Amino acid sequence: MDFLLEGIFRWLHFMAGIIWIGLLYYFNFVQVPALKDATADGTAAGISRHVAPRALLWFRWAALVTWLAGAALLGGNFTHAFLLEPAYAGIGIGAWLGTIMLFNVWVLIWPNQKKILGLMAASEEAKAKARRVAFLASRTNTMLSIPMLFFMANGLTHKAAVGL
Amino acid sequence: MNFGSVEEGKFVKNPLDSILGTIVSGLVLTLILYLFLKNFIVAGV
Repeated sequence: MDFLLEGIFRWLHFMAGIIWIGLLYYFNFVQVPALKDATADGTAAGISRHVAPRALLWFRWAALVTWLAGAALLGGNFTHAFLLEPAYAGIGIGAWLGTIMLFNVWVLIWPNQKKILGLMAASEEAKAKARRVAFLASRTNTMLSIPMLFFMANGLTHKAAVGL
Repeated sequence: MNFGSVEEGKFVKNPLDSILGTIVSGLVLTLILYLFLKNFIVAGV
């Protein structure tokens, strides 16, 4: 791949990835605990109405851009990575984890958040279920982000440093 | 106490319900995947 093009894809992959995972950590470490307290003192509406929809907009599109830039960066090695061929197994694990996380964002988190935030009609029972599914999918992504970042950081360029 | 779910009469806590449980699960998964990769995929190459 052209050296300059590869550099641009890597740059884009990093920037979008920072937005995606940064917002994922914001949701899990800041917003969820804050909403619990805000609900108790009746100030949660501001977060739900003005902060969460904007954060989710950046979150889900950054996830897609991160994946696409990562796929472009793998280029002709895309299949080698996803088949976990030895030379690409480290980055391949990272790519698989990132792909599962992208699935969680678009298939589990976003459709359920639309119900929770009232962007889609839903009964109170459906909202309660959506809240649990979205929460667990988000927490699953937080958990997966830990090995994902390890293998992304060490899977291709620094694999010798960690004995892979 | 916050019990995640009940199965066969026993209380089962979900580690993902707490931030600490989530981080510890992620670290354990990292170790498992690393050992899997090192011993079953990359070994012998």
